[in-house]
Amino acid sequence: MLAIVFLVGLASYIFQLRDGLIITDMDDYVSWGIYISNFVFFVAVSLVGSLISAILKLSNAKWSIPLTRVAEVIAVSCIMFAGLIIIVDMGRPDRIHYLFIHGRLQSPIVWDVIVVSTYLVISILLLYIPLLPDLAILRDKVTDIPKWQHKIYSFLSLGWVGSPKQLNIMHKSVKGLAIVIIPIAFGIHTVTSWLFSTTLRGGWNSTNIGPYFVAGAFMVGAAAVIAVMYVLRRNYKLENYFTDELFDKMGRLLVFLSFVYLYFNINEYLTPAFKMMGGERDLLRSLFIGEFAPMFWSTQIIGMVIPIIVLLFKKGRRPLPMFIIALVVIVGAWFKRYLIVIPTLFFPYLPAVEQYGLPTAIEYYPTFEEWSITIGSLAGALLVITFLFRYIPLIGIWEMAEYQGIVENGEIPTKDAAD
Amino acid sequence: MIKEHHMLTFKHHLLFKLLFLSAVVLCWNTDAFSQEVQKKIKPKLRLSYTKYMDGQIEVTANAYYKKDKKKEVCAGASIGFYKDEDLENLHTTVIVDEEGFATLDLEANEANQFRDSIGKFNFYARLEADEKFKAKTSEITVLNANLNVKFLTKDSINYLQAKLLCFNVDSGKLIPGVKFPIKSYIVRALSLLPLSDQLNYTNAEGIVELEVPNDIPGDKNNEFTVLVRLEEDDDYGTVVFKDNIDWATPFVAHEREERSLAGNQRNAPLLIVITITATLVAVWGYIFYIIFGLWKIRKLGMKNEEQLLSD
Repeated sequence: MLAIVFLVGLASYIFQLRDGLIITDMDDYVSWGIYISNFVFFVAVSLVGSLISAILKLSNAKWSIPLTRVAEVIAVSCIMFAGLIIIVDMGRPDRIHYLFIHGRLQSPIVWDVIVVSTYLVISILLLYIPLLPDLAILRDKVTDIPKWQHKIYSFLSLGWVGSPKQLNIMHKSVKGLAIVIIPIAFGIHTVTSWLFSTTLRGGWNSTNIGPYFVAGAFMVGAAAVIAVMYVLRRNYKLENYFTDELFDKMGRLLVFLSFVYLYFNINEYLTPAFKMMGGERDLLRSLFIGEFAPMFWSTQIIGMVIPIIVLLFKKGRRPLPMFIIALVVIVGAWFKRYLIVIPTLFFPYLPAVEQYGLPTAIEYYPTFEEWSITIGSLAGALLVITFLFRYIPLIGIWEMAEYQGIVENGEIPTKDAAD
Repeated sequence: MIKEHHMLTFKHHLLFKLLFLSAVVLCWNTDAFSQEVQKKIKPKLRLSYTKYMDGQIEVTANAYYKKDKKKEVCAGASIGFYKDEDLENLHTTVIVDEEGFATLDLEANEANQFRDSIGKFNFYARLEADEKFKAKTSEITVLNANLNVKFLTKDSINYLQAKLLCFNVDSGKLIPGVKFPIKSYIVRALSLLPLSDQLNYTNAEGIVELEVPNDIPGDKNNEFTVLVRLEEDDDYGTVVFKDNIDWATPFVAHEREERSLAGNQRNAPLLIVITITATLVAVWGYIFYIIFGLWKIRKLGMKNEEQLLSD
């Protein structure tokens, strides 16, 4: 099913490559459509990698260890598709190298390209390096697999034998990367927010927007981990690892992150709403009581306030309610990005517009191709997650063994180590 | 009684059947019926003639109609351009565009097909009747005219000298066009810059002379485009002369030399260059160090394998 949705999106993109962006409903005014809101969504979800495998790990929250692999896989797949969706939004993707050749260092777009590619590489390394001992276990202990699969495990495990020197390098690298990824993770979403806030537009012209984006990203990232964790627990009978207690802790974390995001939301909307001036006034009216009001209030109430209320109760932090709440938060977060990106474009700050009004009514209804590419990209990200979990352990074997006190310092014997 | 009752029933049946059949036929033909009933629009058709001095001639038909006191265009309608008044000798058909115009493009020698014995050019056009529009005809008759422009410099002042020659039916020759308003412009990116605030009329020799300012910016070759026109004259239509002249102020590329946020790629503020470069070197340096660590892990693995084999 995911593959079919992805292929439909791919076919639409081929049509877009052939005919150009004319097949979208974007125009002079709404020049950033659902591709960009989808990009912001992907970047947001990808931040979960740094939350779980860096921030929680470094703060010694060992309960999060079973989630590390899940978080890293989500991070890698989402940041990959964030990069791809930006290329989709380009009218001339064949000129992408111009960004590196002719890019101006003063441009936040160039900063974003740098930080997205850096975050992608670090996320891959942070997924891959702790995977080495597990790949070696798969290489040495799993026999009933095809030859090609064994060869791939053998190649990817880099001859891992679990020697003290190898373990030392691995531990140092993981720890170092966990430290490095935190500023990069904050950077990636802050720089993405700067793409908006460095332009003089209603709704974007805000100093609050960086932390507002980061807070929202951590919230949706945590929800994504909960949703994936629930599906894996059900499908692979992992109740002993993804325990009710773990769900409870993730629920508490999600409530905390939701409160932080709520705080930034109030900041984001209350101060301009208090003044109700100029372009901000028109935008806020359209969000509060105008054409975007149903979507706006749904994202705020269903996507944020209700999850907070439900998760405050212990019964709400049980696996199934948590899964439903996580899905609500994820869907709400996607539409929140839509509301951040698109309505602003309906109210351009142009002196001529203020004096004479708009030359034509601004409308934006994403076309079938835009929807299919967007939904296809979401299916693609889920496909990558599914594919990776088909061939690699869902939970870090050595990390869990270490956490449960079965081994010390990750020294799981694979082959005999010579030193 | 029984027989009569049966007869009545039979008649009723027949009547109902006929009514039913008629209703079916009527319903079947609803579309055709409604189309016939629907009133066709009476369009308006206006022809204009433009001669370009590079040899091109355009005859443009503007097709429109009024709806609720608003002007609507007859986009998609067919306009036939004819050579004769009886509209029998069709030259070509052009479809009206979204702006309401259908243009017939002709080379100067092609236009002679429309010329009569006394030297007049007669163009006939008909908006062909279709499902939406009624037919509408229009015509335009013009005489030939030439507008030649010379660029002169006298005492370091630049002038353009336009001479209008108009076809005279009596003599059959081109003679100077006297007291015709000539408009002159410089072509800018989005609009025309008039060279004079007032209308300039040709003198007894058919000449208009205008000073061209020397402070007008141009392109990279220090050129700008001059446009001189006789506009919508009743007898001669529109005659257009267009050419480039290298009288523009010297071209200076607007490159910001100082470092600033708005500067070009090479002039990024030093603070940004240093910050980004230092961050990139530090982060990517560390990434390569980690990749080097992976290479060391691989090497250690191979060494271990070799040792195990030798043991």
